[in-house]
Amino acid sequence: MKNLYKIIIIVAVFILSIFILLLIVRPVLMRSGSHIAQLTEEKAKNITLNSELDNYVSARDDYYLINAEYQKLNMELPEKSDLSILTNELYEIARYTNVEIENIAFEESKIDEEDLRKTPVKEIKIDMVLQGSYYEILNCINTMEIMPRLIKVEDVAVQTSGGDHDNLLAFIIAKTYFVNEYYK
Amino acid sequence: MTTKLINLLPKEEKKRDLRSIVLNVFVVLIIVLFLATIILTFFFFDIDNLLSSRLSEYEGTNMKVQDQVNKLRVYSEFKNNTDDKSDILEDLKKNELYWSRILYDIGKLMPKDAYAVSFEARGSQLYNYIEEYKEGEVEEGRQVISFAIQGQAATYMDVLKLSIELKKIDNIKTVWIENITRTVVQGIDLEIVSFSINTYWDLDSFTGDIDKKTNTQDEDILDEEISEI
Repeated sequence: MKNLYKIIIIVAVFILSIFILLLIVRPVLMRSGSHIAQLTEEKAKNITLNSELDNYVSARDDYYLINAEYQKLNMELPEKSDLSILTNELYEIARYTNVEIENIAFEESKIDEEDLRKTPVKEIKIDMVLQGSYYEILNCINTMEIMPRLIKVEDVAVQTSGGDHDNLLAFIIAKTYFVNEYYK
Repeated sequence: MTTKLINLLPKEEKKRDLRSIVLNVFVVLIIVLFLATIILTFFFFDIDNLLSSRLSEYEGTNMKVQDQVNKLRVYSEFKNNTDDKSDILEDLKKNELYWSRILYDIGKLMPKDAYAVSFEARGSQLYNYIEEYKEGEVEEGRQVISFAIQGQAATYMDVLKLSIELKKIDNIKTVWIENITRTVVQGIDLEIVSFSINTYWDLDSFTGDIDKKTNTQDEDILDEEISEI
């Protein structure tokens, strides 16, 4: 073979090799690099997601337990004022403890607009006047304190009614709460 | 008989073509390199395909896990809501006064010859004090009234007995006899005493936890400063 042909072959094969490297191998390598980066990212994401999943799975496993707890808490601190239910409960307590409710008044506490998002609960002030004997009033207050809905008896004034020591008048100021829907 | 041939012609000198040899070597080298490039190309393609399939596997798995996470996140949010509500309630119940228990204790501690005509409990003052304490707005040595009793007794000794007994009630620090007044019951001409007693809370027993909280925060700040140093 003539040397010229050899040179032509060398140059041609060299150029072909360069073309193959530039047009095929280089893009494949670049794509592989990007795949490796994506793969590393996906692996990290997978680890994070799996640990997150483990936490959530444990929350799901405890769902019934948490739900029971939530229902109990909802009784103590309802989502809405539920005044009709509250009034009914108070009258039921009075009936059960043999106390007469002379007067009952509710007042929702006012919250400033700027504090509205910072205050988790709204208050309802309950102003009650009861009539009954010492033990009946005691029993009534005690039942209010331990009833499912949270009621904080704040002020109590007991006095005899017209000199009759078995018939007392009790002036009670209590507070109950419900969730403030604007709280963030 | 054997004959020996003798070549008498001058020896033809072989010319070695160095250029051709170098070119031959180059041709071989370049062909080897070319073949290596082709093999590498296939190899890289293969790796890329493998990586690509692994990537799509991971992406598929992650999408499924993400889907599961999204579904299960509701449970976690529910748990967080429950915990938040529990914290709020715990905060509301902190330092809650049970007046029925105190009223019961007063009835139990009342001396035989004394009785209460009126009873006035003021829990709201204590709650206000606690709120002010949290804000750091309370003055030193302030007293907060717990309850006031007005009643009648046979003698002043009964009033004293009552004042001593009232100190046994939880969280009561001071029992203050406001007045004892001699009274004559008209009609039966009986001499009795009317009395008025005020009681005051032991405030430390309500603000102790709040103090501790403040201390813990201070300690945390101190720890942070030490770690920074």
